[in-house]
Amino acid sequence: MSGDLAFVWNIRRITWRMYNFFRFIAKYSTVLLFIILQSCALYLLFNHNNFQQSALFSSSNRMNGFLFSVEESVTGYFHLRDNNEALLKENDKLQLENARLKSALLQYRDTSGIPLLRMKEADEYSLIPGRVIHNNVTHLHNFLTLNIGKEDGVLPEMGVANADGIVGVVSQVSQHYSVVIPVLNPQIVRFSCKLKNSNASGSLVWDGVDRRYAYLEEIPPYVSVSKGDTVVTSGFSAIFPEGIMVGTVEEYEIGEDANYLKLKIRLAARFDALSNVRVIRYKLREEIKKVEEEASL
Amino acid sequence: MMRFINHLICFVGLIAIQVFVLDNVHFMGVFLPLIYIYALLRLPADMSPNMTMILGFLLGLSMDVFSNTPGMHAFATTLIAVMRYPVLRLFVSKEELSNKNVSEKSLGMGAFWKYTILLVFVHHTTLFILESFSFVNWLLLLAKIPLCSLLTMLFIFALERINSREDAKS
Repeated sequence: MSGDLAFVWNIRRITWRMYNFFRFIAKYSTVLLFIILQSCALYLLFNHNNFQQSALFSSSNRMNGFLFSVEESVTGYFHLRDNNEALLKENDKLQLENARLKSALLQYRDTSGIPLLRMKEADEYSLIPGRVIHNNVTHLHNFLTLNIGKEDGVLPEMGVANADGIVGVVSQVSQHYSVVIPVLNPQIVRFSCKLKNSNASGSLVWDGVDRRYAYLEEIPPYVSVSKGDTVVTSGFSAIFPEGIMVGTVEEYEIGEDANYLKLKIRLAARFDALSNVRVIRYKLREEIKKVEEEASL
Repeated sequence: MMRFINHLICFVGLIAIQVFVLDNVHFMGVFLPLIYIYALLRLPADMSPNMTMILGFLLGLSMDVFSNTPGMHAFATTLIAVMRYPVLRLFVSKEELSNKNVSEKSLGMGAFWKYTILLVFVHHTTLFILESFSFVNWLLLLAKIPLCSLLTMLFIFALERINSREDAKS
């Protein structure tokens, strides 16, 4: 009898505790929900790794890609005139170069046995043409969306440039779309660049203020610099080949610790009017990466 | 039900305007209005706080998806979603709030604008501080918070004008 009573009491105690527990949850549900939601947000924010993040929460997912391409099909017409002019200019340049090369080739035709062009270098890179379907220049962490993806051969960490100069680096790729982190994003990428005439190299960063300018840091102080000097890519990383236009020197100052020069660079590419770009595929990239990994082990 | 559909259209419409139009509008390069939070400010006052918070989180998350900043907008919008009711109660009595839309007309000019200014300011401050976590430019941050808030409030002011006119018609 007493055993039965103890059993009943036990059950009553447990139900009472459960009841209290649920009452607690009901009472503080708002606070709990608030904490859960904010933790989700912070988790997403701090696990946002720019090269490996999942495509779900980014503009390379299918729905966003579709919406942005609809947007581009409307706004694309606004820049048609400018784009046309840029293409004509590029065309002229290429035709001139073609003519020059042809005449050079004629000159050398008879001297047999000498390899004419460094064909090997030209073979290492190939270009994938694409169009910018969404362009963001107003935020601190800007990005572009392109209408080309895995199916066209685009992979993360490939360089992107247009006829004027470098644009950025591919960060995420889906089947048909890809997201590019442009130079105008202070977060991740420091592009390795150099001064064309002195070969001194440094890294290019954006300060988050003006989309026309970026800064070239870590240039040794003994290098002579003057306004208007050309800055090109250094070719130290597998992202860009050597010698792609970046911009021109606008101002220069001695850095905070006087060990380095800091140059203000006027970017060659106009980021508020990007349309046609090329993704640069470096064929030996895998090999370089593998060797570097082995070396670092 | 009509009210629900109305708010849904407001949510989707404001995000679309924000992403496709206003993200391309920039005053002096860096200052832009963030009007999508107007959808959150307008929710009915008697909505349960949990529901408001979930809607706020979803609103922020959908904004994040479009601007490649997972969690950033979501954090800021959830914060103001939770603050919404207490802030409303600061300026308006409980009886006045029951079963009412939150708008300039129903709350009165003073109360509505105090409420809007406070929440917009909190939202922008949180958002821009989160945005510049990895990269701090204090001067830019200090300029961005008040100027962007001002732009946002200008746009909300305009939207309120349109809304009140439509209310008067119907």
